Amino acid sequence: VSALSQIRERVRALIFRSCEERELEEELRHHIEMETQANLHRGMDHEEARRQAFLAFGGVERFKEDVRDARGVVLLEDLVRDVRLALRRLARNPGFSIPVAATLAMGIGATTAVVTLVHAALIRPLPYADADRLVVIRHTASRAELPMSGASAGTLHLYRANSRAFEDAALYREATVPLTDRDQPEQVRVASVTPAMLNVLRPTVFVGQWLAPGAFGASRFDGILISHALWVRRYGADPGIIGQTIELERRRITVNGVLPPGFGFPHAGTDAWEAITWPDQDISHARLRELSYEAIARLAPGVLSADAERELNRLVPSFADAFADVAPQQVAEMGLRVSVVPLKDAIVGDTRSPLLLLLATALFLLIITWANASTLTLVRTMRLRRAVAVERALGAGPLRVARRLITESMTLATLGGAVGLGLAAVAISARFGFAEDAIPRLREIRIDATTVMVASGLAVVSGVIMGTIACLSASLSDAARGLSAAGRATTGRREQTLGRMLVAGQIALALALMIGSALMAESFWRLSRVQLGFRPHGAVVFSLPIPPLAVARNDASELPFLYHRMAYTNAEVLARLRLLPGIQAAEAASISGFPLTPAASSYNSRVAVADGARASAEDWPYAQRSFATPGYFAAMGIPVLSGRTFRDEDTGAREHGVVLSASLARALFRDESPIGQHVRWASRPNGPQFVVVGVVGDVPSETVRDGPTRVLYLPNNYPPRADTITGVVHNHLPNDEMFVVRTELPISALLPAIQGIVRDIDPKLLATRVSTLEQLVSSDMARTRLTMLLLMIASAVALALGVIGIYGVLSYTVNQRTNEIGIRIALGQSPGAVLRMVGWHGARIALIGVAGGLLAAFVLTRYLRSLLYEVSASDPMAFTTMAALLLAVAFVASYIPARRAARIDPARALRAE
Amino acid sequence: MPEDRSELLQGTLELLVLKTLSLEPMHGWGIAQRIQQMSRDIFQVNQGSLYPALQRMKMKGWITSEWRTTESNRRARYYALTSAGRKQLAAERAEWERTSSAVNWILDWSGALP
Repeated sequence: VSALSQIRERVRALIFRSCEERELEEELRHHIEMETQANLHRGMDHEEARRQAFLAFGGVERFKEDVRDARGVVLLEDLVRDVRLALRRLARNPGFSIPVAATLAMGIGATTAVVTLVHAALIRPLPYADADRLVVIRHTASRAELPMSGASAGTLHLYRANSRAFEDAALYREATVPLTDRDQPEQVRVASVTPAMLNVLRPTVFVGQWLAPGAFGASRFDGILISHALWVRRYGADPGIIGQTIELERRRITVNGVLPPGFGFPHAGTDAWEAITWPDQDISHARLRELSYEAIARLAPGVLSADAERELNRLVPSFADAFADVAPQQVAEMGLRVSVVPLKDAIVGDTRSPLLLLLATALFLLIITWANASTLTLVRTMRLRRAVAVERALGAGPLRVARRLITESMTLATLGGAVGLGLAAVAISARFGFAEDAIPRLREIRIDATTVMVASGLAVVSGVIMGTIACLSASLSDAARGLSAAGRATTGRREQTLGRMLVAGQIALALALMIGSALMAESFWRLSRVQLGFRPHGAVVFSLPIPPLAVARNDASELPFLYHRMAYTNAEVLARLRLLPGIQAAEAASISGFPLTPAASSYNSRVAVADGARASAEDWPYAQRSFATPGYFAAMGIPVLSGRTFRDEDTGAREHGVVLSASLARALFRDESPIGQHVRWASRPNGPQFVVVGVVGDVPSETVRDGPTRVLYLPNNYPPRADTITGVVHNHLPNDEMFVVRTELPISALLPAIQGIVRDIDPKLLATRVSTLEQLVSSDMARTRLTMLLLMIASAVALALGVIGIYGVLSYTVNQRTNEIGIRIALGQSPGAVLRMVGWHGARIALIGVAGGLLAAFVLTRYLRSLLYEVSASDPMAFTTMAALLLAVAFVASYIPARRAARIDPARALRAE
Repeated sequence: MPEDRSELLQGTLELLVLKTLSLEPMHGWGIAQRIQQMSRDIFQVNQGSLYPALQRMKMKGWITSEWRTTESNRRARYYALTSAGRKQLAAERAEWERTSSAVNWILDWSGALP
């Protein structure tokens, strides 16, 4: 064993002693030997010669030390030794070091992960050249009930011609379409973009070789540019694909280039850019049209987005002159305005507040873990006082003691930080469990220098905090007092006050988090109890995008043909589905008006009572147009409130039947019965009229939160009758239907059957958006649920730490005062009084914490407001119940040490002295 | 050893080392021997204090060191003066002469102003 340990010592010496150290050793040995040699020549015997040599030299070790000092490496070597000592001491004291390292790891890990996320989503520049000059152009019409909408070719043409604010501007619109050129059809995200997009975003493009931005001329951009990811995934990164055609929605398009790796717009996952252009005469005729495209522009150097916005808004009054399809007073009436928003802000959008909430939660946790680590450090240093006093009595200077305490804190903090970084890395690489599109730019998130810097910075701060607390506590009592204090059970008042303050602070933060999570839980509960208006259980939905052939774009005469083809496809799919075993119903309706499914706003139209008179067309309500099969309401579980659903005869040219949603019926007819009444499009007083045959229950619009949507249901009978096609109703193409299948079968069993049927009918079609109605509901509530869960976890952790804090401080106090309490009991104080005394001690801490927590929550919950649903940010229920809960838990935490105090045996306590 | 005294000796010791090395490069023991020969009865110096002084002078760039073989065929670290060291020697020597002549002047002063 000794040989082994000797070897171990040698190895350690070799590792830790630098080369210089060995050289110094050799040099000094040489000196001693030379001196010994000289002494031998002077006639001394060997023993004496050596002794005299050492005497003449002086203390070998001392001079070695001096040489090291002169060399300046002493710090590093001392550090290594200190850290090793600290590690050994920490390992001997797992009851302190493990909880502290674990809480620090959690606090640092959570904060690091969240900061990385927030940095990636909110702060880091977008991955486009000169991204801070990129803006999106949108239009709002405050008086037309239109949501934010984009731009049109007409508006952009006008802006480009009349404004100097932009270098260039482009339109785009992203859609998911089937790529059908290989055996395996694949859904890809294709952005239709105007060629100017190359000038706006300036990607490097691969055409046989990577061309610098701008080298691939904007004017040459036609066909399609595919993303690097698609190129690799589907075409094996074959450069030969350039110039070949691929088949998208059955249209053959030439691949003209590959976008650079990691580049994607509008999303990181966009698979291709397809060039769109409008015939010149379309633009010279200049129509405003629907504002259904997104517009992105590159500001000219030095131009601010606010300046650009002002300039564009000056152009708005000229819309009536510029566009044939806008009536002069219409623009003013709509309250049309242009907004120019930096691209980054547009991308972040409404995820900013949940992200900031996440950040705030993490910071809360971090502060709580700091307070917790400080409390534990404080308690430990108080226990350590005797050892420190001995050290100082033996001559260790105050700096030496401080160095030891700080090294310990720093070592512990470094451990915590390292584990925290690991935890953060796990969370980041799992993308926090979010869906890719749940948070903008989530795909871009990486474990990068920021992550490491944040983690190490937090570790250093943690170490400094704990070290300061430890030194403060150690210096509060000098050596002499420390020694005597260890013998006589007095307590350091000031440390106790500091400890109580830390615990009260922890409790305050914990309460604020608890109240936040209670508010979120209540919102979630209320959201989940909203009357959905349909039966989510046991229904599978999917959509079947049928590519409109290119020919349809400008040729109205093709419409009937297309309509038939699509309608028959839909009818066939429904008929085949109904034949499957285990299927109770299969129906379809337009995507607009379908609950919890986003649809383009262009389906929104104003509906008027046919013979009704209101001051202007703008007074009539908007409604989503939905084309529904007669069995749709039954299949969805939407109740028919009055009247009936569609019948075949409802698709006549004269008496075209429609069904109203309850909210639309109320908006049009108030308390009158709508059945048998006539309605029309508000914009076409002399257009077709429809007779109301029924009223059905409301369903929510895109999200449950926004409440019910008004829907005008038109009959979608298959096969269609000729007169519905030829323009009586609409020029609606049934290419975006949502199919609903009522069944008890699991989605996994049904999906192959659905895809099989679709492939059978048309091998190039692909069912998309396949999910259950329940999944739609749950993903709609995902953000609320996620926020709630997050706050709940955070507040549970905070509560636990706060309770540990109270318990720890009280236990320590009881230990310290054992002697005093023993005397009290010996002098006749009842155990009940002792219990109350110690209990009150804990209760006071808790009460101070609760008061602070209520105040903090009152200030902070207002930032939750945008995430709450039908709950006030200062909901008294949440505030009182959480305060009560925390007090109750704090009471239990103080009861245990208090009871221990009450049971102190005076004889034993006094003897323990 | 009290701090102030070693402090006092330090400058002198460095001057002596510089002087010794200006003659030829030498190893630590050799320097010690030479200084001892020169000042045996004047200074009570631990030979060991030579080494921190050498290290400090090396850090200041006055001397360099390299491992060489001695006449007796052993490895030893030899120190040699750099040009900065040579300048330092000149400066310290001038300083020393100025100080010592001032001290001598005071000691020789008989009370009459010159």
